[in-house]
Amino acid sequence: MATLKINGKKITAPEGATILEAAREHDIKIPTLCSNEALKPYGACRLCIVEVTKNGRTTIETSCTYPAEDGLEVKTESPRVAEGRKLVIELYLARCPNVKIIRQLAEEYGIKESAPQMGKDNDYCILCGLCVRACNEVVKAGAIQFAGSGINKIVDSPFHKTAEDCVACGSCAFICPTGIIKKNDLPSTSQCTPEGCTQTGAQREILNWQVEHKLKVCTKCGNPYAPEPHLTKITRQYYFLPEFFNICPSCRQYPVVDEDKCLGCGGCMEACPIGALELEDKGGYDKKAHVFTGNCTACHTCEDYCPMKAIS
Amino acid sequence: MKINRASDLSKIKKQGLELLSPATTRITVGSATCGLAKGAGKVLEALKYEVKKKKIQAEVVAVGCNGLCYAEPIVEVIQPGKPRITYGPVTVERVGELLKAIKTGKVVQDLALARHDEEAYCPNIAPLKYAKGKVPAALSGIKEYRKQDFFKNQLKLVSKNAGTISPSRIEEYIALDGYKALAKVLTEMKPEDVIKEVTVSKLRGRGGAGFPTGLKWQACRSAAGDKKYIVCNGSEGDPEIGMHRSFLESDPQAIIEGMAIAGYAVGAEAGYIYVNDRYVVALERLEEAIRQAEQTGLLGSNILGSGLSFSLKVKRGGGAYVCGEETALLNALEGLSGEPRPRPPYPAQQGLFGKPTVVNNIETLANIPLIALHGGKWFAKIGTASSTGTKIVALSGAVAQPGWVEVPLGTPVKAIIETFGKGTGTGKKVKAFQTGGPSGGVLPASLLNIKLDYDQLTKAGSLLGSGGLLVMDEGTDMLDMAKFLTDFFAEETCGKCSTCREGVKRLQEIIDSIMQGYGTKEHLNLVKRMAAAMSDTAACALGKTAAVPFLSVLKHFPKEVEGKLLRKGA
Amino acid sequence: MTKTKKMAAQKSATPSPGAQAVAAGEWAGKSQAMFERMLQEVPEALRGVFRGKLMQVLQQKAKGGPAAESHVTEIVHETVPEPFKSNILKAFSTMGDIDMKVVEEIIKNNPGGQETVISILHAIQAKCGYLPQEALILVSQKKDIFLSNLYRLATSYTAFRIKPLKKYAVTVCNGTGCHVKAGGQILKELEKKVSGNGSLITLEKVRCLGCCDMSPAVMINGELYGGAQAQARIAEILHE
Repeated sequence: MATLKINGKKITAPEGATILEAAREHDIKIPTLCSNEALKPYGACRLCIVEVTKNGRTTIETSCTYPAEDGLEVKTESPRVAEGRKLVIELYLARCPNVKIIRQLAEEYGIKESAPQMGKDNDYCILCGLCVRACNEVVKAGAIQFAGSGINKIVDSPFHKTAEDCVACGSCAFICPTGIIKKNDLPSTSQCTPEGCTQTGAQREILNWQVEHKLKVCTKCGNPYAPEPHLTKITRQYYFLPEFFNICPSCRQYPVVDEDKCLGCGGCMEACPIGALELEDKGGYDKKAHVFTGNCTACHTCEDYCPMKAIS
Repeated sequence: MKINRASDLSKIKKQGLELLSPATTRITVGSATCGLAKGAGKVLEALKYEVKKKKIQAEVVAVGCNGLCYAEPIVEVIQPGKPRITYGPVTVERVGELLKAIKTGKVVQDLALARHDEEAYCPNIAPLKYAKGKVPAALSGIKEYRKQDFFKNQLKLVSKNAGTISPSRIEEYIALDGYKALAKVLTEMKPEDVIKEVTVSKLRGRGGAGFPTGLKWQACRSAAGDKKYIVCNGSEGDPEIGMHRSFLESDPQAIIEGMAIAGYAVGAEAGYIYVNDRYVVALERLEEAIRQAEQTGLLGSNILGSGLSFSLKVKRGGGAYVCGEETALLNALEGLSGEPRPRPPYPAQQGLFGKPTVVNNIETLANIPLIALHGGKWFAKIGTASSTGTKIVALSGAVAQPGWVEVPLGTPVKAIIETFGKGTGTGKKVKAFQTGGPSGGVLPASLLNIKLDYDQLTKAGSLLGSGGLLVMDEGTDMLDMAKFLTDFFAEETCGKCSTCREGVKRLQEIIDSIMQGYGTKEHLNLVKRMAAAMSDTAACALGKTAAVPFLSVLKHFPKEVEGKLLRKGA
Repeated sequence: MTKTKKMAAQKSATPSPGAQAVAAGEWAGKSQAMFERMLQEVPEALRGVFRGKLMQVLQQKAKGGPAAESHVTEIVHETVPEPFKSNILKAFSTMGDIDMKVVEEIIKNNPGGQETVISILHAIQAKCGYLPQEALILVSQKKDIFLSNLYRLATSYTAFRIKPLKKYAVTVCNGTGCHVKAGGQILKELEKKVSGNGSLITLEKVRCLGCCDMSPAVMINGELYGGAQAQARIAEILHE
């Protein structure tokens, strides 16, 4: 536990917390662009800067990376911080004048536009790296990365070709704050010519990485619900059975055992084609059926089999 | 020969001394990149060929660079009992003439630069004598080196071996008391004692920030970690210097010894030397030196029977200036993209692979054997109170005699330019100078009396940095120089933080506007505002100092900038 | 490639000329490189056995002629299981004229994880002159490192190039010393000239070639030239 002061207010922060985390715990507002709870701090946008005084020395630091240490004095809106933040927002405005989130940020801090002496571009990527970090740290597909460096840095797929490792999970599109990553889910189509009809199944395309993948169709409700390569990856990663994802989450109903009715005969266990049922010791000679939802594909075989109708 | 006792060093020392001052003639050719670029390689081959053909009793050896870069290729002749003669520039055409002179005991007058009767290569150590008895008449006409400006005003401690020994003969390094420091440290000192000496010496980092080395080592020693590392920063990214490259090509063993001592002091068993991508020759020589050190038993396990194990690996960089920044360098060593890491944690606590790491500049490490051998107190007497020791300074730009020299810290810049560079050589006066690379901006000629000192230079708005001294004469367009330096930052920014990446781009545009005549006072105010904000918000020193070149030109040469501004109503 | 005379001689000499033709190294196009690349998916201990077996299949397909690229592709489709099949086919699709054995050797000589990658990239570029896509794909597979990660290193470090050098590699020293003496003029002029004749010249900038009093220094295909000489040599090249 560390005790520090933020804007004159004494607060405590848990071990290993950053100033940003500590501030948010106590409803102290600090703007960010490149920070996300699920991802390791990156420190690229420089928006979350604060003034930190430690042992008599004052410096400007990014609160998303700086640890909340004992005895720190932090100011989130000092004049130096305000000036620094203003320039950062202006620089973003100069780069991305038409990106909604940047315009909102500028408005919030009373900045009308970037200094007229600065040039203006019309970019839509703020290089926050959220998409890259999500793809590499969370999904662990590694389909996209930063490419080039410095002023010409971009986010790209290898060799600017179709991202072969992309599983079309859409995390990049979801997390992108500017909306520049375009994910489209397309329904299945059929094209009919005098020679015959061809059907294209439901697809997801992520235009930025030139990626197109089939969406898995639920065998129960018939709706396409998730990209096939992503499901394959999860199946392999967590050793699920191949049939696991045949049912979509909305349709997936796991069997519930009514223990009053259950005889512990083990018939459901033998009938289950996956082996998702076993008998659990409940004390004494009592045994009841127990379902491993991790393996269950909700095929209903056990429900049909049970002589006592104890499974629903 | 492999040794496992400190006392056996004397055997190798004897071998080395016989090589340096042999019974037959020794002819050396300065073969660092600066010499090779001017044809030293061909001269070496020609000498070897002619010596063999004419059956002359002589050994031709490739040595390193002695700093006389303007006079390369440098050839030195050491005949038994006679002084060492330095010749330069020696071209392939003059090789025959040179060998004839050696045979007849004469001298090639127009090429003779200096004479060494003895090599007083370090205080407290007996000099290596070349001449026995009176100096022969033919050679007495050549000025003794200690009477020449170039040599007598230097204090060659770190670079004492450069240009004298062969970088690929560990015996020659040991002959001039190489590894004596390591032996002393391992047999007579405890790790804490070593750190104490370095602290007492007040040695400061020779790469940029000038952080006290003793403090850094102590922090690493105190840090918790099962593995620790010593990393040598050999990236030398500043665009006007190459003296650390020269040093690595001339005396690689000094770095190895320094790192081994650091490893002992801090508790590290492994070290990495990160070398600038372009320094292929330096890389090869380092790897060869490491091999020889291992074969001799001065690297590896149980060094000199002390129980210390220390091993070194050389890693080639990817060609990024920003990798001179210590955390970006660590990322590069780990095979990641060259981007700085947020600090804290600092490398001393969590560095390479997350372990406590000391990152030191080449020159900082090269000072370590001297401090270990002669003591921190001795070292602290050199230089000034806050900037102790010597500094290798690379002279470039508008100087008559470019090259590098080693001077005590506190030497005035003017003296360095006049004594060693011999003025601008262009007939024009000095207009401005730069220390510490692009981050140092420019300083005007009126400040030429400033001392080469960490604090004085920082106070003046510049920095000592890695020791570059760039001279600009009256013919230099300062605004163009500001543009060049800002362009450098624009090319080298890693692009991670918004401040630097976007800021430098806008700075380029503003400078272009001014140069094209569209600039206004608002442009200047914007740069001032940007400089302050960038200094606060950038992630590393590159972004923090990106606006310094233009601002320093604006401060010291306001007319050149304001003269170009758009006049209202014009 | 195809040596018809040798083949004819062998046809008359031995009973299984097809086998001899392929065994003696008669490969059409990139087929040998492809065959080797396919074998790299096999663990080293078993590679000898597989080489023999697959060679027999290849000989059958070759039917006395040289082994064609299509033959090797067919073998992959017919006999190789996933995920190796996809790996190999992906590698085939990007295969240039690079000898993948060289790349494999480099990877073997640099055991370890991410920290070995930059050394590996340097070694590959030293052998191939640049970083070919198929080489990076192989490194990605062997080291279990995302291809995107390698692509980032290849494009963010200036030491590396992902396109081969043109006929003339011109490197201009752009250090501050050279700039002060020559005012960056030669670089500007070169850039202008090269932009029109891009097919023959690769222009790169570098900091300090080491000969500060020959400034502005220029290196052309490894040879160093000082200012005026460089202009002359460039003019020569441009007249080609």
